[in-house]
Amino acid sequence: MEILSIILSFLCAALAGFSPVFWTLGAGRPGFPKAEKAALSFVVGFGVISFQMFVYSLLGIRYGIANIMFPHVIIFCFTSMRMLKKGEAAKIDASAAGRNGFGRIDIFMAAVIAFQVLHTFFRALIKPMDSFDSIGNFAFKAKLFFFERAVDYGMFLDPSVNIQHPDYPLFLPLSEAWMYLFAGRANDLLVKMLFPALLLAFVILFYYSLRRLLGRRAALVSTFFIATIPHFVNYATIGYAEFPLILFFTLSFIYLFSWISRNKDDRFLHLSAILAVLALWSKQEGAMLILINMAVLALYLVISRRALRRPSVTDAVYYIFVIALAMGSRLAFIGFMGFENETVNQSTFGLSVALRNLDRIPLILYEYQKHIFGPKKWNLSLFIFFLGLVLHYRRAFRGEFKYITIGVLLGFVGYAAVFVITPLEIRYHLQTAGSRLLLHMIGLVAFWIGYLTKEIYFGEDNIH
Amino acid sequence: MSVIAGYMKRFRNYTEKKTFMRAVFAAWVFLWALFLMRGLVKGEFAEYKALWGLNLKEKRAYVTGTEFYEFLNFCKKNIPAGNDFMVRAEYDTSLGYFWAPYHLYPLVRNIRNPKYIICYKTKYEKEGYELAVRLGRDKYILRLKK
Repeated sequence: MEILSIILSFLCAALAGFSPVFWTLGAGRPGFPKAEKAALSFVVGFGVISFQMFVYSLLGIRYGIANIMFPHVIIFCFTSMRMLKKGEAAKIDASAAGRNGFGRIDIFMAAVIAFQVLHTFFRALIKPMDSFDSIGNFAFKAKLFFFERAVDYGMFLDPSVNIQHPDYPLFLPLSEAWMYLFAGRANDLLVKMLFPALLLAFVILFYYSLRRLLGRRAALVSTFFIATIPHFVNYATIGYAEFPLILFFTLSFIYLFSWISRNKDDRFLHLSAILAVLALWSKQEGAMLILINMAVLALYLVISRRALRRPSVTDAVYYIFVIALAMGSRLAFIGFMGFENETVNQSTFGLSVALRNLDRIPLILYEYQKHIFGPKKWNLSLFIFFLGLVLHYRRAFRGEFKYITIGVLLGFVGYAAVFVITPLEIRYHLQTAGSRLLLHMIGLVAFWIGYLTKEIYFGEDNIH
Repeated sequence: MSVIAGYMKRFRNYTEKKTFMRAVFAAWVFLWALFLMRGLVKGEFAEYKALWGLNLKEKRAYVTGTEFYEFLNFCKKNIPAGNDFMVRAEYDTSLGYFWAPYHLYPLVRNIRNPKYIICYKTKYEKEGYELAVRLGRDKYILRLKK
């Protein structure tokens, strides 16, 4: 019975996400398959609901299922009427046509991906939360939010209670609290269903978004690659915020790239902006990661300034403005509440700190190479990326491919910079967070490998 | 340098053949299967077997450590609602530090002036506190004297 309640919480989240996705993708405009829209509604819905719970708390309103869902039901009714009027359902079906020609290798890859997702559901649901941050940071806060029906900042600010990382974004604990509201108790076993469900959503979104860019075969190969990386799948079972962050960041980057490479269709840019803000809402590191999006977009604007038309430039400026606004709001909130992060804070952003810690670079590089040559966690993903980059560096920095390459490299350099400035003992920090932070880039690495695969082996034949 | 560049070019040309892609794909699948099986054999399967069929409380006891979990339930029963507590313990891992506040909530941790001090696998006394209740020789709860 409780499992049905959890499934109902998923459906309600998807309902809450349906309207924003519907309006973002343009009422009645074709081009997005039904599965992609459903997965987007699910992930955006959790973002919307968790943020709504946060806003209610700031306004002093105790949240419950009814007062959270009420506005979404109204909006959903309005959206449904509009959808029926526009005949959207028929258009979605039409866009899903033409999926013939699956070969044996495609079926094998699809079967392995399905196995990985099912195995992840099993692994997540066989045991309750038991990992360090999943308990100390997220599940504890989720339980607190469930009992209090609010985010109790009084308790967060009380040093005697000693709450871990009070400054962390609240996407995950509030999403878990949302599921507890349906279950009627803090069930730390069933709540883990969220993570394999996010994996399923990720696989769907990753495949469909890449299919537009790389063609079906290369998209399937990329999805197969990422779904069989042990380290990546493992994080869909343990209850950490890494997984939602990887999902939001990777997809926001891919949609941004889709905007660059697919006729500046504004829907991609809007989707990218929404997912980038959700990346910021899911984990601290989201701030660093969405800077990559902004840097890549800024680079694109500079390089293509002559070819770009005015509406596209305006869209891009809005994109940067929205993300900067979200980041600024978050920083202002942290400052207003008096939170301070132990890893990166104002005192760490000084040139003298960076210069003093330059001797850490060999340690960081040593840590990176351990991951590149270590198949136990990463399969061959980082090794192939590294090898591909060395052998095909000209191709990797040519045309649109260069934006993906630069995105991945900026991620690695960005985290190296974090390790340089962190006040934590470097060996301890690398040991506890090294592989976890690199994992944030794995979606982009799989995208990069897929793009190279397409460039070398599949050409332009089967795209779109 | 030109020798290295030559070898690199030859290797790059080789990587552009479909045979190379098939070899990489096969190696990838092999490693995936290998590490999947390795994980199962090296402990996951035993863990699944141990957890299969347990109810939620038994599963929580399994992941928390049965002895510690029982002690936390004992604390839950013996500390009246609305109070706060602090933990003094010899934990096996640092994760233990989080288990108590997690399981005992809505009892709230107070690391400065708690009404109760939970003592687990340790011998701890503090001025102003008296023994409230004892589960074992080194597992007991201290209470602030009135």
